[in-house]
Amino acid sequence: MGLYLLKRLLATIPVMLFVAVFIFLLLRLTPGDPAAMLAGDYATDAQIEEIRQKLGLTEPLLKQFIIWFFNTIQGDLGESFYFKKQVTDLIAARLEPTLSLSIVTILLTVSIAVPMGVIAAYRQGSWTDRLLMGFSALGFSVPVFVIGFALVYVFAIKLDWLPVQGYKRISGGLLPWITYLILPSLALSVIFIAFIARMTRTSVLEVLGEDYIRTARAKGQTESKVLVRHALRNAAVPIVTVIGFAFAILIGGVVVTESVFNIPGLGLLTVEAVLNRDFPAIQAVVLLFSLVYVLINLVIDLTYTLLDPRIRY
Amino acid sequence: MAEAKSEYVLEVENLTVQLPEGLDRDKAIQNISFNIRPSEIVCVVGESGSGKSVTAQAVMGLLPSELKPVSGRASLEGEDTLAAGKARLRELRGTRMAMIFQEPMTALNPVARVGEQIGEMLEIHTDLPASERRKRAVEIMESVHLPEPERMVDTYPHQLSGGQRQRIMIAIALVLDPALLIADEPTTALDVTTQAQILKLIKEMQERRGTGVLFITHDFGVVAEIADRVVVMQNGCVVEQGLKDGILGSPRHSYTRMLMASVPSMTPPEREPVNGSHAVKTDLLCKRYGRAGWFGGGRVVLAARNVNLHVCKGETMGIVGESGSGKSTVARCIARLIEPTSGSIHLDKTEIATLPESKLREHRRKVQIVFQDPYRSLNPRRTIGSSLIEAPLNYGANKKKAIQDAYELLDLVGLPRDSMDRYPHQFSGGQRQRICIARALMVEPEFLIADEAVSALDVSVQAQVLKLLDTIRVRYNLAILFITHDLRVAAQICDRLVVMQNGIVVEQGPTREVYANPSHDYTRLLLAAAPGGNVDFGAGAASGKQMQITGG
Amino acid sequence: MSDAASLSPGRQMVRLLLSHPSVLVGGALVLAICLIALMAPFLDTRDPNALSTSNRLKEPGYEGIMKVYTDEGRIKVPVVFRLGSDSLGRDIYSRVIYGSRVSLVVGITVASLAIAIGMIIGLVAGYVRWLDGIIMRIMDGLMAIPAILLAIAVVSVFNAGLTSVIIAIVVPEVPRVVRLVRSIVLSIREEPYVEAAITAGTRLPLLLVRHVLPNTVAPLIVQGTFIVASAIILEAILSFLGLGIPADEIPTWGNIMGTARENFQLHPHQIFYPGIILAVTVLAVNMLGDGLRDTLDPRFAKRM
Repeated sequence: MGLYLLKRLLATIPVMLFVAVFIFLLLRLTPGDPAAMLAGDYATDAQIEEIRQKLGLTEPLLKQFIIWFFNTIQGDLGESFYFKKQVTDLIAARLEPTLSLSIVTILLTVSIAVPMGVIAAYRQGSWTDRLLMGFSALGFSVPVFVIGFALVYVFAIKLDWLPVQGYKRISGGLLPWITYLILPSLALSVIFIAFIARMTRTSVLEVLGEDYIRTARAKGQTESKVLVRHALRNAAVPIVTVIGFAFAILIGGVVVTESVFNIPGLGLLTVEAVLNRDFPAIQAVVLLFSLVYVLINLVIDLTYTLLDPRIRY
Repeated sequence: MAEAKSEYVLEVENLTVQLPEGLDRDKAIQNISFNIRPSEIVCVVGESGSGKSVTAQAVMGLLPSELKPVSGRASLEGEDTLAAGKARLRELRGTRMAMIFQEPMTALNPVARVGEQIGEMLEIHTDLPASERRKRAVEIMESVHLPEPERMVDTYPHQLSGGQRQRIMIAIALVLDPALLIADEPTTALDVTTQAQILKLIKEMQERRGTGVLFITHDFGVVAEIADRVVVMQNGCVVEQGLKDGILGSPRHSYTRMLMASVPSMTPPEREPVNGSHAVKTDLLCKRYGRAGWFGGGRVVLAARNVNLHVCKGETMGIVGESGSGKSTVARCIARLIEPTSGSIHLDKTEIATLPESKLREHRRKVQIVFQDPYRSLNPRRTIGSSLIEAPLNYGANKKKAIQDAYELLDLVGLPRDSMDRYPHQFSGGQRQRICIARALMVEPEFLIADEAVSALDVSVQAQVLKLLDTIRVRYNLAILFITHDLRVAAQICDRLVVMQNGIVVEQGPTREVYANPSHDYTRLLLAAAPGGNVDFGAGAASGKQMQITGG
Repeated sequence: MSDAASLSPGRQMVRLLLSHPSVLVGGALVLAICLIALMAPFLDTRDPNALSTSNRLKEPGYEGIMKVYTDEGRIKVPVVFRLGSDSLGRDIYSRVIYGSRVSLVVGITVASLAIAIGMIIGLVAGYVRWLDGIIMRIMDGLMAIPAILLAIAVVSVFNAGLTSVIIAIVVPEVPRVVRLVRSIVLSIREEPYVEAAITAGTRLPLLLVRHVLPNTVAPLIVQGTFIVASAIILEAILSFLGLGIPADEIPTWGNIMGTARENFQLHPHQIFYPGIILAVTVLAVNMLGDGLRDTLDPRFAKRM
């Protein structure tokens, strides 16, 4: 187990290295010039050149990469071109809103989606099933920002129950924090609820066809216990996989949701950084999100050992 | 229950189960009647599609929802299970009737400890506390002769062998001492030596506890081994039933006689030794799977170790062994579907073990294979014709000529010529296997490998395919490598035999000699384990015929 | 029975497909949207990019006057803004109708490109042992970057526009296709009929085309429809965020909404009209995909 963990951690190195090289090259090959962008519309060529020098953009590509790479390993993500701050500080300041949004969304999603999927599987073919799966198909098709605006229109503008947009830090009290988070989390969770409910249903249905379910019935076990003790326990691995996968791609949804609800988190930072060609910030955010993705996948794989005795590393 | 106890544990009377519409027959089983007394083993025997499993499921109330019992009774100690409500049926299952299944690998919940799965039976039907349940689980595991039950009670199914899992299933079924045990092909998925042990166990448990057993099987060997009485089924109907000795000694119904005549005898016939030149010869052939991991971990399996064998032209050479013995590995190495790790393979004097793929191609024509699973051996998207002519066209044959050859081979394997334009799903398993044989012959190979080629077939179909293989061997002077786990089949078709165990050849020689005087312990074990080994069903069928002739 | 059985597997499939309700409903809707896109100029639309300073932010159904420059000079034409106008006085109805073109073009192009590229890489990974490891590590790396983020990064490299958006969406989709194709190839190459073809002396290219590739067709058609749906959404997101196709060049559902967001509190319909048609389109494609999956490839759900 320890050995496996070590192996897996080592295996993340080439993946992260690939991400680093990929994103670095991608940005350096860009036609847009960050120096010109920073200098503004009225800068002279000399001024632009000076900024370029200062940012180290005149160095050879390889040298730029090596400098950036070693700084990154040491935790120095450089200074943002646009915000004129250390990228580490920038990220630290933006972390809380994004984490809050993600965690509330995941809690909301799992607590709704898993029971939904199990019920749909158990009542396969019934009206309940069709209704739940119809909702799931719909949720899967409406983009997060459309849902976001619809929710804002109904609950914030028409009913005036909740704030339209923005974010309140958790240090300012739990109630304002959660009132500001309800709509964005709800908007973001819809697609994941649809996705996880569907996959849960499929996994449970598949398990219900297994021989050991027949064995349990032959023992005289009641249907509800067959469902929980035998079916759900065996469907746990695929369900957890899907939840983990959803958690990992949640990061993408965060970008859009933060933009719609004007939440000053990492997602909004990404959009701002890209619009202003802020290389250090883009690189840092992409690396961070990718690292999170890789680590989530690792955690999922490790939870398998708890759920399925056949999996041993 | 206030009802008077019946003389029988189970009485099935005129049971009929309806099939959904649109199938080739409308009843899964029709007017089935038979009885089981306490302490009696009744074998229901029949080929696939005979309705034997449906009978068992109907009694247990476990029929799939598409199948509905429409008439008849199935009385368990006087109580009709078909009329019982869902709750009552649940009470009956486990306490008075229990069931074990064919696939011990999948019948146990993989994520629950075996002790818990035995305990679940007690949890459902008794009020015993957890500690007591565990104690009872250990006791019953001990009585089904599982080693170290105290330790094994906490293991998961995947940590146990197939035989051990089936013992756990039996323990689960018998822990509450049911009056009726239904066993649906419980040993079919097991190796022959394990099968013998499980059969012995079922018999022992049943005798000790006075359980009535409904034993479903397709194997007359098993019937001979275990049955008190026999019920023979065909296409959903009972064609004949009676005491074992009566049925096996003098079957009355023509179908029973045909079935029994199809069971190959364990006694190899006299065969002329074949003295052709070597078609294939292996020297010190080895195949290793897996490799050591980075950190010294990783599992290495030696699937074949120093295998020396040869097959002469015009000869059928058998490899017998249990699962994991390496018999298929050897065959696949010779066909170069996998790379041998070391050793040499001479095909007609050419060394092919190390030939690169590009040079191998001209030799591939000479070695053809017929695989075990007829349902996966033909590309479902291509017509039979295009499957047949694929190989000749690859070797530059003229298309017209190839099609002509294909027609002739279809004649030879006994299929109509219009099969050419049809798709595999329109054929039965036996027909597909014939097509595969025809396909193999299309390129006039020198060497044919039959890898468990008849194992998936019903016994009557199996007999026909075996006959076909023998016909083509003679006609084309083919060298055939016949791989099988079935000692009866091997006895009848093989000139010579190689016995393999754990990747090693433990014995080889002319079939008759190996059967008569096995030199290795493992061979002796295998031969002793073959169910019904001392019974010659063909002879029984013949004598039955005679009796009928003399009687009639 | 004999009637159905004598058909080739392909013909049977077509029959089965046409009897599936979500294939029919989804397919009909998709067809309708394709027609709208094709017929856009004939659906009583006008230049979707025509500005009109005097007709800014009008409600649906507003009847106004628009100045049009022709050879004979400037003339005033009465116009109806069916779905209102945006902050630059552009007709939202025309923009929404023309916007369908971009969504469909992006969806179909991305799906075709992703499948073509993914299939080749997947076949190579599945059949060339020594390349498998390298390819799959690269794919893992690409998969590690969240799709939207990767698309945003790619878009930021090129000048905003249709081509860069398509490339940006294809890049994150390719690894998923590669994984699917590779997993199918790995399972199919173990099938006895493939081994039989090897012993029949079939050369590798023919083996792949004849026995392996046909097995990828059904799953890839299914996967393809899902890629269409997700590409349409991704394009809308990019354009909505202002990173995709600029609103003054080509109208897309995403950039119509992006333009409208600043006036959302007063004119919410400007977001909802394109939002609803976008949702309906994606739903139709997904329904079609679900139906195709159920009939063509029941095991697809497992592979994801």
